This record gives sequence, structure tokens and C-alpha cells, in this order.
Amino acid sequence: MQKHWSKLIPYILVAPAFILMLLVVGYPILNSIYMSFLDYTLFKPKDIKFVGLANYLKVLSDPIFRESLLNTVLWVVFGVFFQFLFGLILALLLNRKFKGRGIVRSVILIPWVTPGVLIGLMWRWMYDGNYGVINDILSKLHIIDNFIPWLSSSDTSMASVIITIIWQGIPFFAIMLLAGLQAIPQELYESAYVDGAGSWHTFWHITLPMLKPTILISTLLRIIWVANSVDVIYIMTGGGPGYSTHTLSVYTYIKAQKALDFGYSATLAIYLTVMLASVAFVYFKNLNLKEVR
Amino acid sequence: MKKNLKRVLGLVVVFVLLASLMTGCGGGNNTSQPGEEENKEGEVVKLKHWLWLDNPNDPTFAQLVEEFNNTHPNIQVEFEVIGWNDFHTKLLSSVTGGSGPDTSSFKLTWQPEFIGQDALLPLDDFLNEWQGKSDVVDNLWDVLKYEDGKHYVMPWELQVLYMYYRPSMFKEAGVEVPETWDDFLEVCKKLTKDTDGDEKIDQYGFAMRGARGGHEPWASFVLASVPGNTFFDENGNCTFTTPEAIKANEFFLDLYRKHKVVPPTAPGDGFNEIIANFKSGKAAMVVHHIKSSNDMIQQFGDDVDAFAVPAGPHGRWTSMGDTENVIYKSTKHPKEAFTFISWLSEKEQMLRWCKTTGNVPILKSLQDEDEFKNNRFMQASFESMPYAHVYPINENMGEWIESLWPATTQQALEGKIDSKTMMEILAEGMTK
Repeated sequence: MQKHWSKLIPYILVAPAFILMLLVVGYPILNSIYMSFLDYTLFKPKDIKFVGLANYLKVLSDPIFRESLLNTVLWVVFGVFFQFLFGLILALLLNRKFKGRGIVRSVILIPWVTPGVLIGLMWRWMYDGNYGVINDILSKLHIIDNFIPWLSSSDTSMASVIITIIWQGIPFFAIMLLAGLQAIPQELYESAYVDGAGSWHTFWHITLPMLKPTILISTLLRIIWVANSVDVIYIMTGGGPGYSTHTLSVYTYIKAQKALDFGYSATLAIYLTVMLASVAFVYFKNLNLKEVR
Repeated sequence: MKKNLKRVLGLVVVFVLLASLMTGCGGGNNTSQPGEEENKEGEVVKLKHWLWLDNPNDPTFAQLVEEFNNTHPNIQVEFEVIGWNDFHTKLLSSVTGGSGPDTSSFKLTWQPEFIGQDALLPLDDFLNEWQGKSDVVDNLWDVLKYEDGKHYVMPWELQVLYMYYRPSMFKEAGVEVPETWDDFLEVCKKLTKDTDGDEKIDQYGFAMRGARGGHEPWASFVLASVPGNTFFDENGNCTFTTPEAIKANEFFLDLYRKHKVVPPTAPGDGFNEIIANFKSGKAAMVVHHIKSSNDMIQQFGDDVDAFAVPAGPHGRWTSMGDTENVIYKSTKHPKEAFTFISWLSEKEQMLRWCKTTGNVPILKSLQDEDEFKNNRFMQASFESMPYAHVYPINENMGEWIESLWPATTQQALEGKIDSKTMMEILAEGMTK
């Protein structure tokens, strides 16, 4: 009897957490999968019916889906790459000793702790085509003659929102990479110095390899977050002009919240989830974390 | 150690059981209360009313309800103010879930969702008895009729879109108020100019709205060219794809594409932007309704005026903004509920409500009140009323208004699709 109990106890102890996860994570996931097989529009609450794979097929021939997919790739690749690049530069700078380093370290966190909605509103005004500060500065520097409607033209809208998300994400990388940098044993640099390695060589052969696990985890996290983020784009452009800043998550949001088409929206969400999961899978497969360590 | 664990576990189990017992009791109590209330007959009827307020600090509605409760001792109305942004979602989910109010404010465009689930009470029997019915402005009962021929809403608030303009700019450019859309273009061209001598255009004719909500002023351009000024012809075909409509749409697009008489930000401009452009002097004309007038007078004093939207070859069309009151079928007291919502629309209450909120009165007998007669913006509203209409109401329109119209129009403004393609997409989206 005693033995049975001791075997059961771990399960009983994790049960509350497990049940909670099942309720707040498991149920919504299963429910979205179920909804993606339905024609579920809230405008027609009496006509909800099972349609099998119809939604999945409809997505494949949907031109807005294709445009959104392309935009998602641009949004994630450029967004995350430049966040990482500038974050790395910032981390290397902050790793040096200088006066007021503590203050600078906390100040650079501001973009990261500002809510996305606020960032969207702030940048929307900065980009404004009639009164925006960006236009004002550029025209005073005589770089542009006429004010550019950054967010109202599809030539510039995607680049503009990407710049905003880069600004938001730099501190995240800076802090993560800074922590990684400080975990690198000082002796490695000292012996490299004794062996006559220059600063470029130490960076390339010591800093980067030692940082690799941090880089992998933080970029993967950020890829997922950026791909899923709706707030910044939705506030700044509403997905427009045209469909030029529709990413998959923005499209999913608009379909669910504005068209109240939950079936189609669930299908879009599942496509995005499957794509992100495969990215994560390939990521782990090709860049084995254990090997790195 | 193990014994201790056992004891702890035992205690936990006991607490969990106790807790569930307690919630069991609570539930029982809660469900028994409404039942008791229902049994009391001849007692005071309680009504729950939901609404949103444009100005949440305005005490007028609370005062009206207090007055109603005092003058109708057998009916006690409790109202709840809910923010506009959450209103629709909260109302829809509560009504669907069976916990909605007895009466509430309402938008015509929501009818399909609510009538689709049989939640709204048809009001025709009550309305035929209502003394104020014939005093309601002409054309309104037609506009408010649902596609099954019944009326589900009690008119309450009304706004009509017209054109605001700056007389000083008109005078300087030497132009008069345009009567037709062709005149409008000429006026726009003269108003679009460089005012401070730096060879850059800094004043535009018209604050075009290319983002969300722009479909309303846009329809004034298109439907003025359509015979009968309707969205659908007698055979039920959408009129957008007729050559006249495509041409009128081309005219609209060319304001931005060819003539450049609207700010270059037009495709992305929503409500805040067009009003900001007008108020900063960047644009000389803008389409909006009476609710902007106080703000405009505060900014410009006498240097702002109004005229009805220009006419096309087939007359004029303008868009109507509306708020109604409705009764839900779930209410136990439909008669008292109607007493309340009709009382709100009766002469004295309507006068008070329109005076403080700035809405256009829905009653003919109020149009002669000095308060409204001497108001140039009210006059523009009254003048526009005979040809004021709403968009067709069906389950496609939510998405059409929120995302299809802005996205398609923006593509056309940028020259990615032509006028014909744009109209085909919009017509298909409306009828699919």
C-alpha cells in the first residue's frame, strides 16, 4: 500500500498544474483545431456546420493568404536579423567598463518594456505624412524635398513597420547576449591574448562560439514572438495600405475580430502554427544544442 | 515523513470537498433569487438597459432615467454604460448566452446577427399605437425597416453626413460652394496650392478618407451617378459594376491619383487624420456629421460652415449615422420596455437629449425650435435628410466595411488595380 502511494504522489503533485495547463492551453488549442473544420461565422450563429477540409483548401487559393505569407517572411527575417545584429553590437558595448554603465543598461530596456500598442501609436505619429517628426528632420536636412507618406504608401509601409519592430526588439537581444557574454570565462581571453590573437580573432573564435547557445535560444524565441505579434502593425497601418502590411497573424486577427469568421481564422492560425513549428524543428535539428555545448 | 504527507493530502482532499460544497450552496442561492422575483405580481417592474455614451461624463442620460423612474413608479430602469469599443462584443456574447439586458442602444448594422438568432422583438404592434410615430422625419421608417418588412428598432439618435468647409479659404481662392461633383473638382483644384511661398503644396482641397470608415463619403460620389441612387437595382444586381458607377469611382480615385487635390497621405487617413488635416488648415473641405460641429466652432469660430454633399447626374446621396433602442425577446416585460424606449424618443426628452449631445432631432416638430433653426450645421443636416440612407445590412457587411473596402480602395488609389476591378471586388464582397 505504502509503495503504491509513493508511486502516485508525484502524479498527484503535478496534477493541479497539469489540469490548469489542460484548461488554459490544451482546450483552446483543441478547440481551434475543431473550429478550423467548421464554417463558423458569428454573423450566422444558426448556420454553423462541419465542412471538413474546405477551409484548408480555401486558404491555399486565397491571394491575400499568399501576400500575407510573403509579408510574414519579410517581417520575421528582416525584423529578427537586425534586432539581433544591433542587439549584439549593443551587448558588446555594454560589456565594456565605462562610467554610468548601470544607468545605460536600464535605460536601453525602455523600448522592450513599453507596451506594443503604445509603440505603435508613438511611431505612427513619428511617421505621419503631414506632421511627423521623421519627415520634418529629413526635410530640414534636405534629404527629402516633399514629405513622404511612410505608412500610407505600400512602397514604404512594410519597411516602416519593420524598423519599428527592430527598435522594440534590440534591448531583448542586448540583455540576453550581455548575460551570455558575462558567462564567458575571462581566462579564455587572457590565454588568447598571450597567444597573440587580435580582437577580431578573439571575437570570431571565442566570443561567438561561446555565445551560440544564447543566440540560438533568443533568436528562436524572437522569431516566434515576432511572427505572432499583431499589435504594432495593427495599430500603425491596420494591415494596409491595401494588403501591404498584412502578416499571417494580422490577417488571422482581422478575420476573427472584424469578419467574425472564426472557422477560417482558426485555419489560418493553424497554418501559421505548423509553419512556426517546422521552423523550430529544423532549427533544433540542424544546430544541435548539445553539440554546441 | 510518509505519514505526514498522507495527512496533508487528506486535509487537501477535505478542503477541496468543502470548497465544492460551498460553491454548490452559492449556486443554489443565486439561481433561486430571480424565480422569487418573478412570482410577485403587480409589483414594480425592473428593467436593465445598456448603452454607450459618446461623452461618458455627460449626466443627461442619468437625469432622464431618474425622471422616468419618478414619473413611472411601476417601472424602475437600471442602466449600465459600457464603452463603445467593447459594446458590440459584450452585447452579442451576453445575448447569445442568455444574460443580456431587457433593452439597449443599438446600431442598425447589427440586425442580422441578432435577428438571425431570434433575439430582437419586432416593434410594429407597439409602434402603431405610439402617438409619436407620425412625427418622426419622413423617410426614416423606410430606412429602418428590416429586409423582412418589420421594424425591430426605435429611432433615437441621428446624424447625417455633409461637407464642412472654410469660408476664408474659399474667398481667398475665389470659389463658391460647389453644387455638383464637377464643380467640386474645379473648387478643389483652386484650393490646392502653396500658401507660404516655398514652392511646396501645403493646402489641399479635400480631406479624403481612404482608411476605415471612408466608405461613407465615398458612396456619395458613386451613388450620385447611379440611377435611383441605390446599391442594388430592381433585379437585385449590385450597381457598382455599371459603367456609370465605375466612372464615378474613377473620378473619386483621380482626386488622389491624377489631380492630387487631396493630401498625399489620403490612402492611410482615417477619422483622426482627416479631422486633423481640416483643423490644421491642410485641407479646405471634409465630410463629417453634426457631432464635429462644436469642436469646429471652438477652433474656427465663424470661419467654418457647411453645405450638403454635391450632386451627380442622378441627384444626391449621403450617409446616415444612427443609434436606436431595441427590446430583446428574452425580456419578461415587453410592454414596460417599450414604454421606456418610446419615452426616450418623445418630444421633451428628445429636445433635451439633442441639445446636450448635439444629435439631429428625429422629430419634425423639433426642427422649428430656435435652438436648431439658427444652427447652420443643423440646417445642413435637415437639408440632407431626404436623401440620407444607410448601407445595405447583411452578414457580409461587417467584413466589407472593416477590411474589404479600405484594402481594395487603397490598392486602387495606389494604381495597383483599376476602377473596374475595384468595383467588381466590392460588388462581389457585398453579394457573396
